[in-house]
Amino acid sequence: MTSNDVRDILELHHKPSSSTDSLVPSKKANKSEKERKPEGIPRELFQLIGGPPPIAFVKPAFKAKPNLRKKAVHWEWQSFNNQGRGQDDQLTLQHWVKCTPTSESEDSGYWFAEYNKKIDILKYDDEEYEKYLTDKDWTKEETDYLFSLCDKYDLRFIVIHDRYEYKDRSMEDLKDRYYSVCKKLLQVRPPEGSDKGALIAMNTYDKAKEEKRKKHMCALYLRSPEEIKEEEALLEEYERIEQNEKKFARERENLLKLLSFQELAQPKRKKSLLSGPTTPTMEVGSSNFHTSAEMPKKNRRTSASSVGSAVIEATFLRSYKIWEIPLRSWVVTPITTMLHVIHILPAQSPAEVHNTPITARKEKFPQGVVVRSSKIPLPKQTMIIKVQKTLQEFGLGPRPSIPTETVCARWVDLQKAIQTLLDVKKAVEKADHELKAKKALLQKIKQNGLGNASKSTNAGDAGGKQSDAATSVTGDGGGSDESNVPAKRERITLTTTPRDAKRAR
Amino acid sequence: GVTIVYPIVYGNVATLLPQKKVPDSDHTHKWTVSVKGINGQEIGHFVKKVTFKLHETYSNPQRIVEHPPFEITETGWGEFELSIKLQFVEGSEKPVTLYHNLRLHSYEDDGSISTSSKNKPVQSFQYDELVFTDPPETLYQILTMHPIPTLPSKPSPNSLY
Repeated sequence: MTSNDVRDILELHHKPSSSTDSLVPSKKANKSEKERKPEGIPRELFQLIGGPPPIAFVKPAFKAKPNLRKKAVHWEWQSFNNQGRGQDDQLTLQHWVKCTPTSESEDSGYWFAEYNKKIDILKYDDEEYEKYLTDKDWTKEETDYLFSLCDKYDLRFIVIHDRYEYKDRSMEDLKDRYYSVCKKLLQVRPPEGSDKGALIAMNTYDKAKEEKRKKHMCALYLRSPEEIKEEEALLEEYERIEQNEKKFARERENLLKLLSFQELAQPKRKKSLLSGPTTPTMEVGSSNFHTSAEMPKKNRRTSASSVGSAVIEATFLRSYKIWEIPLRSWVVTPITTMLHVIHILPAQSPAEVHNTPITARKEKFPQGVVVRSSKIPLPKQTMIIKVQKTLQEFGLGPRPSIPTETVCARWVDLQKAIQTLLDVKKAVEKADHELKAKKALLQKIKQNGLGNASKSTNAGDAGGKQSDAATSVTGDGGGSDESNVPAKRERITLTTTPRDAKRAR
Repeated sequence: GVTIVYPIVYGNVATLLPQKKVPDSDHTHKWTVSVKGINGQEIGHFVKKVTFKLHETYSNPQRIVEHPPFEITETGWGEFELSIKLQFVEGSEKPVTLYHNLRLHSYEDDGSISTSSKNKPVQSFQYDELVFTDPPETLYQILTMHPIPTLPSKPSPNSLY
């Protein structure tokens, strides 16, 4: 079909063209197009465009030629009775029936009658009623009426409820009565062979629950669009909070694992540590791990973690005492708050270190000869370079110079401690970052002024974090800005004082 | 469940060759690489042979020494890594390979070559331990027959790695 034909059909405007009927195949149409010599535009282009085409187009449908060879089938006008209508119904209707050699020429019945399904509901007799089914609210008459309706309307309760004319009853009432009657009858009658329990279960009807449910449905349906939006927003907030909660819990788990590993590995050292005072400064060290939460809670600072952090500091300290590295190099690292604890812990001389027994580590070598230095386990692939760099910082080479059994064991411990150190460093950096971000947020909020409740709680949370970080017990992280500002200042001064104290030493 | 630990020392000594002796070769140093027990103990009783693999520019880079002292003396001008493979008298034990970076020049602490002319020989040795876990009977006998050297409690004046 060309655009000309379409134009014709739509009676747009008549272009001078050779006549083309809509039924003529497209080849002829193409030829006619070719005969016309368009001016200006090249021929192919014109063929492609066909001038400005109309928007409408018709789907080319395959039109089969009608199969006119066979003889016409003979149809007969017959009358029939619909079995679907009641027994006494005498209505005879008529319809066309195809005459095939096999069919009979009498009443073939109504072929849609088979779809008229009827539900067989339970029927009770008076005796049964007297015995089991009496109810103070329902007379026998009414119950019979209800059952007749159920039968008539195939247990379609909506219809039944609509046609119910006896008393003013709700649909739940009717349903309740019907199902309780059925259940009672099933329980009382002898079992039929099929699963009685299932039948009884099917007939239980909880009226109160159903009423409540329908009320809820109505309320849900009748929500205004604003209410719907509000609800969705609340749900989103809730999900976000839950997710963050999970993430925070996970991070905390990791940190605890890190710290408790050191704790488990050196039980003897832990004892000597615990004898020292657990000053609030220790709390600071551990609390810094936990201040990365959006909603800090004081009870998260468990005693185990504080001991764990103290232990970690002890092991670092001792390892470095072995190699006699000046503690000053420690100060450079970002774990400044941990330094609070260092001056509390005693130092061990190298002799003592040698005498402290190694943790239960029996060297398990396969049978045969092995060179001890080759058996030192290497750290993880990602960490190897970092660990080596750290060793370099301490003035050590990549392997111990005299690899005896004790030395190798210590070396492995040192490596593990370095790995833990690096992990912890990373965690602290992350925490620092988050703290900075939260501080910036706090600043922004302070500038915007205390608005609605959510904003103030954010400020309160950020403030609570800071007050946790500060050792001074400046009350709780309240909503007021004034308490936050001095808390921040105190934190800054605190980090410098122990450092200065150590330098003075 | 028997473990025998035998400490060994391996490494090299190098001395600067006086210029006049061999004027046409570009070898500047004479070095000796060796494997011994600490305190100079011999390891010949349980070590069958030692294969020193030198740099490929040396003729016969695989030098095999089958009796003590297990050492190779050569001249050269450059430092390279060489491998020392110990094979034991007990055939069932796998040979053990050690690696050593040949040291010819003396270095300052920060890794730069010391310019002050030192006529003292340059040493570079590495301590290591051979751990024999559950050695077969013969090897066990051999190892226990000869005294196993122990580290001195005070650091010795050896210039170790």
